Amino acid sequence: MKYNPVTPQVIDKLKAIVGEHFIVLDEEKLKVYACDESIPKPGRLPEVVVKPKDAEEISQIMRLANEYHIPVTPRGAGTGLSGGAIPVCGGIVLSLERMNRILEIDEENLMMTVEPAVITNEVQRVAANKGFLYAGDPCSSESSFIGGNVAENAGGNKAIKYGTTGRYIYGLEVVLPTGEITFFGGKRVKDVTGYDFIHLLVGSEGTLGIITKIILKLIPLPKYKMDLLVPFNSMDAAIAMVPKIMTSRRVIPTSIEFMDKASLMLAEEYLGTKLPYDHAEAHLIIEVDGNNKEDLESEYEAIGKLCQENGALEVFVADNKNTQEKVWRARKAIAEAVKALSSGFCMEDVVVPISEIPKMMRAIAEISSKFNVRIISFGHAGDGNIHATFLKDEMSDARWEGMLPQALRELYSFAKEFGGTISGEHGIGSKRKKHLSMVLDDAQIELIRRIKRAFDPNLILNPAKIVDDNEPK
Amino acid sequence: MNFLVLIKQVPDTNEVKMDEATGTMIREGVGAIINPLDLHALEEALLLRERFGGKVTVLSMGPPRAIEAIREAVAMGADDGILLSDRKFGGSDTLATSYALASAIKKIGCPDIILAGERATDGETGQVGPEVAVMLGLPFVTYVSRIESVSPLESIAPGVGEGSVDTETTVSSMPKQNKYLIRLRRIVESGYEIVEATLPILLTVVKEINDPRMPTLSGKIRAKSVQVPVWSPQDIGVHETMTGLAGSPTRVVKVFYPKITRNGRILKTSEHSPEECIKSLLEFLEDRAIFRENGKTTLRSDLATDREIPEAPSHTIAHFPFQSLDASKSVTSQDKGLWVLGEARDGAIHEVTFELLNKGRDLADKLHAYLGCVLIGYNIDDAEEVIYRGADRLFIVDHPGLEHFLVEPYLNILEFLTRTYMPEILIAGATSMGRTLMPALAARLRTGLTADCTELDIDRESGLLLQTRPAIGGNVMATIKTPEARPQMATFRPRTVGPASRDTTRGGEIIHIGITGEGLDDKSPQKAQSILKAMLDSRVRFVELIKDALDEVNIQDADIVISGGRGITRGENFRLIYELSSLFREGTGAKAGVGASRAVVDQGWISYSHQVGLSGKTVSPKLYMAIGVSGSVQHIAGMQTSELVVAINKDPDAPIFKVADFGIVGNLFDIVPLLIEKLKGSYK
Repeated sequence: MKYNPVTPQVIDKLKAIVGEHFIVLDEEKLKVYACDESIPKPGRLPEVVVKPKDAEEISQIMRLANEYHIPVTPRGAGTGLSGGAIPVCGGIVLSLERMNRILEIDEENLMMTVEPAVITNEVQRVAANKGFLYAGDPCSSESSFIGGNVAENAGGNKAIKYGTTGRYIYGLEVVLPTGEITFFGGKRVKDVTGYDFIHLLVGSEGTLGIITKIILKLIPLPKYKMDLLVPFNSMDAAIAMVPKIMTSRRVIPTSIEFMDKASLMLAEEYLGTKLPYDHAEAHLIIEVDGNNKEDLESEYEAIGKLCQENGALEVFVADNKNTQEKVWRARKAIAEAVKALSSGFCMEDVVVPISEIPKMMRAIAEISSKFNVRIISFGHAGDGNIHATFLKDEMSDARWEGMLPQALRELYSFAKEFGGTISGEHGIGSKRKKHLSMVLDDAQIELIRRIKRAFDPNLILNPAKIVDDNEPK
Repeated sequence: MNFLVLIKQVPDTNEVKMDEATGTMIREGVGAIINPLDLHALEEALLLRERFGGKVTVLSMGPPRAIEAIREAVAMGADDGILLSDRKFGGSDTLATSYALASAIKKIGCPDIILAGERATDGETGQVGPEVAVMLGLPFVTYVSRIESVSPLESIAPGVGEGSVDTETTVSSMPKQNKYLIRLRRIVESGYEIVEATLPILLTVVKEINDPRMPTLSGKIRAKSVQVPVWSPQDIGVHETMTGLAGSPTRVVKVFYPKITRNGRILKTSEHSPEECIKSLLEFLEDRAIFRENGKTTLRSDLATDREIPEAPSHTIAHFPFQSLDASKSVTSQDKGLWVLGEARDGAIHEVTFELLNKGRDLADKLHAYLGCVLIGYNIDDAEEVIYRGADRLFIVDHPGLEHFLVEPYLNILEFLTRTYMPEILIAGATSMGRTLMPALAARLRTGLTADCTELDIDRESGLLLQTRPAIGGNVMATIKTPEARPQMATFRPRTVGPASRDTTRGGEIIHIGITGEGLDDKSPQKAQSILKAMLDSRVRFVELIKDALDEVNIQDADIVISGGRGITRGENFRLIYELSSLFREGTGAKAGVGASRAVVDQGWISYSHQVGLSGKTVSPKLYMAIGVSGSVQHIAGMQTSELVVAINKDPDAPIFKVADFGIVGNLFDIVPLLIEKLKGSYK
């Protein structure tokens, strides 16, 4: 697809829409908007960044972009892990950063209305202050925007008990690629009027529309949560715990997270802190929450004892914020640590049925030795979502570039073989686009293209993401 | 070896929330935890037990629910615990609490090392440790950041550790001294001090000392079934008049909720360009005289200085401890005195002295009392300066043995002076020295002490000192008085007021208290020598002072503090904060330092000595700039008395904006580099 460049005339028109102050043209600053967490080095720069203040301005920008045939890449906090917010075709980056208001907390309906650039953590905090839980909880919650969470259908730590972001999205105001402003859904618990557009938009990776307002479902905040930190001397032993816990028929934990020794070491180096058993091959973090303290105590005791009977080196209990923060700090820092400390990396996101996790872990070890590449693994053991992360270390650029596609193909083949898929929560974006056909058949890929065309006939919104924009058959 | 850890159950300050409408604290649903610093004390005890064997006992006083704190400590690894809990203990202030704890320790039998957190996050007095030590007659060391070594005394070169004189005999059941030498590192304003002492000893520890372990499942299960004795005053031989309200010399007069909102001017980069924001900020700083000529920022209003004593300072020599009463021409214990405890570091009178003189002058005038100042040290220069800055009388004790601050000699001298001249009021700075020495003195004199006051006044009717201080992370202010016991004692937070202005025409009396042995009865020189030795002897020995790396301004001394928080996103971005601080230093000539929020210290991006807040340092600079700091309750507690607060944060709802006089809502990476550029333009 060929697009037109952003001309001075277009810049003037953009200035007229958003105001001069909210246009970025400086090259150094443009670089920031050419990266995300998976792609730290800028490739193609956007020609301009605009920072609109509301849906009306966005609508005007989209009409302008259609008129001049300029690509528009919407962007939240830039914490994505699939290259979804990268302007691969240049053009306009539309940063939503100014739209960061919490508009309403509706305590009668247990709903919260927010703009897209509210930090996820802030949504959680404000809800908690009113006694509610916003259950979406990606690991990036301290920096990601809620709008990005919706666009990517972010998963995270609590998915085994609470599901992913989409479960809590009840209404969306969206600027369509052609400029119309529309509202999907509302504060309605049931709604079968027309297609379920909300859940088409959720996880559409910014290709079908720009989300400008979100109605979130809140649930009562559980009074207590307790965490166990459990080191094991083998990854097999740790991972084998997951099906045991999940099928003990006693309790659904809020989270079962795992990290291997190498991930923990990296996080410790980054944080400058230590966990007591950092030499252990694997750690699990198991969280339970609820309203009855005694029940929770007996739940974590049961889980803890199960771990002890199955090779746990120790079972640590964190039942207040100080110790809980300590337990989670390392786990939440891994992604940042990888980014800060490695010479190059590729963070993956395969997901398999929980019963297949041990097999998947062995497959990862196999790939590591076959391609002679260091792979650290961490992630959401409880939902089978494994962030296998390839590290470049001392490898030459050429070898790295040559090895990676083959290794990834192998990783994805294993995931598929075990009934899994290539991405659980990070998305396809530009990063995994070429591998999509490994897991989706032609009919589905064709359907994606047709839906994209239906929303965006000129293919100007976040082009070349998820699938290539070939003409539909 | 046996270890005893003093723990306190406190509200979980992570959960402290304010009702924004009423400005009151929401107590409902706030959990209770072990005071975080006490966890470090417990961890250190557990580490020591791993090395030396023995037993770790925890001791706490509190309501019945505090038994949970004991159980939590057992879950972490303590062997057992005891709770002092009884309605009769209710209302105890620090002195009464310390007395109860000390009495309980006597009943248990004195351990080799008693450990406690440096202070609790609710009361923040830091007094119980020193007071318990004095009541037990134990040496103590505060602000311990590392136990360098514990070694059997025999292996130490002869001479060291000798001369430990038991000057206290309050504990008759004390076991024979263990032959162990402990070497400690403690944090002081200018860096670290290394000190040594023999066991037994009491230590109060800071966060830096270790990383507390987490409770284990087996620990938790054991803790459920452990028997925790609960003792009443009778059980520990504490008479009713010595505990609770009856045993407490201080009284809380009122508790109020400070209005911390400053209603500052907040600009948003979504409405103004970063350039406009910076321009307004610089105008604002200009307007508030941050950049006034040659940088000597004029700090607050100066006091009127027309005083009536026109003569130049006169000097009087008194000999200690024999002649002091008569030697001074004018001062007797009948004179009503308000004293401040000055500080000399390396012979130079420290700024905090002048701040105390500023406040003290005001209070002394209200009280119609003379303003006295005590200076203890060695080779103290420019003593007249104290008179010029408002003191009527300076009591100066200058001796080689007093070169370094050590509790016992300073305490002996200060106790002697206080008992001799009976001042009504004694105020020290809330510095590492003031907060170490004053509780020890309060315990010796059995009087009340209020720590870390931010406001002091004289009650017009009663003439009592009204001591106002923040508590629970600054969420609550309490005004406290000491109705009966004397002197009324308080420590006053540094930099709350400016230094007293200087008037070289002022007169006053300088009383040199000699401790050279002159004037002693020639017939019994040995006795005199032994008294002197006892006065100057210290069971804790000063080894050395390791000053902080050069160029690093101690943020508690700084006029300008620039703090970075999590918003700076990674450690290397602290260079922006450093650059800004050095530009402010150049631009104003004032001392500018770098602060940090707990989050970034925990991340390891900057060292603990920079941490501002409840578990770090309390600062009150003229200008506090918070960059990417959201402003947790704990952080705000450490900086809310700053004169001017500027906040830069991308989150418009960040609590820091509530206490900001000027705020910019926007991406700090758009704003700070621009500010640096602008400042470079103006000052280079």
